[in-house]
Amino acid sequence: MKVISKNIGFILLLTLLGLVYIANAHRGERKLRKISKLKKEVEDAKANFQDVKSENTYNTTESQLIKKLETQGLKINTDSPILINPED
Amino acid sequence: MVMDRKSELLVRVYIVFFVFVVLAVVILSKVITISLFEGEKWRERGGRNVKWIEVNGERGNIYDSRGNLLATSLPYFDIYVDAVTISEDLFRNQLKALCDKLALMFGKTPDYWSSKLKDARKSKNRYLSIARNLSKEELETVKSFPIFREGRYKGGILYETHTSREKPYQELASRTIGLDRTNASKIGLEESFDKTLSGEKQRRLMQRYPGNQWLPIYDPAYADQKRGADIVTTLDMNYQDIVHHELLDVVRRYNAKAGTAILMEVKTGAIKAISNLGQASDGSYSEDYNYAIGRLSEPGSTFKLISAMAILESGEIDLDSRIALSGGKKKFYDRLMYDSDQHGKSVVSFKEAFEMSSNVGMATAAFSVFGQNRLEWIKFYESIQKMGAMESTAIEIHGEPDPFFKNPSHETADKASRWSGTTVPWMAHGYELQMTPLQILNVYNAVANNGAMMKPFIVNEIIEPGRKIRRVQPRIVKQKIADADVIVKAQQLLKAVAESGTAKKFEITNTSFAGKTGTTRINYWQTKDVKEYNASFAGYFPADDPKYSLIVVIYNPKGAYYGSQVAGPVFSQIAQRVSGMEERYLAQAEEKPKVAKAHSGYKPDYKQLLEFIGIDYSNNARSNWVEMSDRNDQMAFSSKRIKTTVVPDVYGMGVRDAVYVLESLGMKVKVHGMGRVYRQSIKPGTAIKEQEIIIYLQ
Repeated sequence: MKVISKNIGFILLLTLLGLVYIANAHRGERKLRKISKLKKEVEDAKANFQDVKSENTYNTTESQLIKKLETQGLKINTDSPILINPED
Repeated sequence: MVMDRKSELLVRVYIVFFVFVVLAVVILSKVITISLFEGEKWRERGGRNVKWIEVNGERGNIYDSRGNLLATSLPYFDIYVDAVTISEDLFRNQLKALCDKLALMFGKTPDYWSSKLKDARKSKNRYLSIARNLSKEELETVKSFPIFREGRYKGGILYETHTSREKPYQELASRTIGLDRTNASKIGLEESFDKTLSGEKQRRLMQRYPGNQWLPIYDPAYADQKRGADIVTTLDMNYQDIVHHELLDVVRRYNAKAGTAILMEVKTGAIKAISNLGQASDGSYSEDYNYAIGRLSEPGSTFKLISAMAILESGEIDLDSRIALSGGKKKFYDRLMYDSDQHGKSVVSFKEAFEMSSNVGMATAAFSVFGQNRLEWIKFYESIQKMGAMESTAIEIHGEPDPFFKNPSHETADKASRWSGTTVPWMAHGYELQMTPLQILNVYNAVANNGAMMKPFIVNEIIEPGRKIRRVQPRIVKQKIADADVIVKAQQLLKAVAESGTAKKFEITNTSFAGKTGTTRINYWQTKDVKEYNASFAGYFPADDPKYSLIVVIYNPKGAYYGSQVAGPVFSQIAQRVSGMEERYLAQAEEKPKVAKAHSGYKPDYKQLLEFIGIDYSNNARSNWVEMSDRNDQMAFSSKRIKTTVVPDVYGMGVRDAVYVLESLGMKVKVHGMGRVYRQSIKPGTAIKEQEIIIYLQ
């Protein structure tokens, strides 16, 4: 009894530390869950982006554009583009 | 009384003591049973809460020379159905609606899907495959179908993720970019650079958390798992697109067995475009084999450039030496040789013989210089060897065979490579030897490059994770493949073909070119009713100061077979369109460039832009976000203040900058229109509290 009452402060401290330890572990776990959820979201977003982008890349190749614009009477210009040289 | 109280206390103490002892015994016995008798079971179950998994680092990407993505890793999804978990009601009511949707998306009839699902339900199939390799977007669509939208447990939809390689340009250069597949060997760059592209493999310890979720047990080492390096190729998808579709047009028109075309940069040996189209049994064309790099065949007339250089280098024959054509038909020992058309000419100059691609002319010239005895044969052989035509190009993609040449020095070598009296005249016009299209092009490229043979290459840069860049430098394989004056004469010959020879009718309006046609009989040892040919054209453009060399080979075209008729038009179309994309400078700009008013954005971007086009600017703004204006012949920045607490003014910004600024302040952004911001739905200066803001652009 005497031992307990004499060290009550220390015991309380230990209890407190124990609580902090448990709370911290929980917080850590929550963070891990959040990280893995966000990671998945990022991956999804990245995949979506890449999907749309690759579709876009394909659709904007010259041959695809020629195909689409044929009906509107537009065709490819084989003259070289003219570059304006700002030095002069 | 005193005794009584004392004994009562004692009894209580004993009771408490007894209870504790019992408890201790119970606990101890439980400990013993758990650890000894049931230990196996519990330890096993405990082990299931942690597991090792193998995680592959992300595979690197492949890019073209302009930074366009050629291959990347994307997640794909396989969809399955647990036909048992769906409730009877749901299954009955919505099956028809689901099957209609499935039929619409994956083909087949609604009845097909309906009976498939019913069968699965009857046979208690919990893992019925519905579709494979769906993109993320397609997966979301399928997940929204009737029944499936109820989720995993009620709707029975399951899916598995796997990564596979996506090529945004689909068929373009696909054989060269290659395949990274698990169930068959890799090919192309994906194979040659597999080690470079692969990410680091890591073993991770995972722990199970409530909700059956596996999360990694924290280890700082996991964070810096290395992804694979990226590869930047020399390919240019603009040119690749041109080359691919011009080639596709012609192989379709002539119902050819296959076709290939390579566009190479003369000065460096960088391959700008490479197309390989083979015919499938249903008549369609796809990149099914790398003909350009892997297919050996007798080159025919395109080889005449090499024999002509050997002849010229001997010094015995010059461009204007007279060559007897004997009417286009001549016998060498016991074998008759014909020219491809019956021209009936008897004597022409060496240059004219080359121009008109006379087999007899080239053979006669070669025979007179190298045909007499074995010593001369060896001289011919060594002269070709000196040009680098007998070595493989050592391109990065594996599977390139060495060129095949007969060996004049061994009398007793195996029959196929034994040299005979007719070998020199036949080699002179490209038979009794085999080369790949790339190997031939490499010689043409060297001629265009004033004699310097480059090593053809296709990978320009390797970008390690951490941005460390390894650049591949162009490499000279042979400084001079022939004497300087021979190279000049070879260039004259090729130019003459374009100006007055077999290629004079090609229509190229915006550039000049030089080259050589090739028409090769194939399978001539078989007696077939229809003779089979390969048509080819190799050359470079512009004729003076060449920029690109190009070879086109069409394997076994039907209906027409002359190189000038089948391969030539592809060459000229590609040359025309590629030259059309080349930049030319206009000497004088008429007006000073003006920058639109109210143009705002990120200062470093503007600085880079202005420095690139060389416009003066005064830099007196301190913030990173600026507005640009035109001030006495000079561009000037003025600061745009962005505070973290109030809505900023994004007027004049492009959509990327505006969205970045607003979202980084925690706002939700909706965008209307395109161009630059001219209106925003929340006034600048309003306090920020996670509002949604609409920006209007024009």
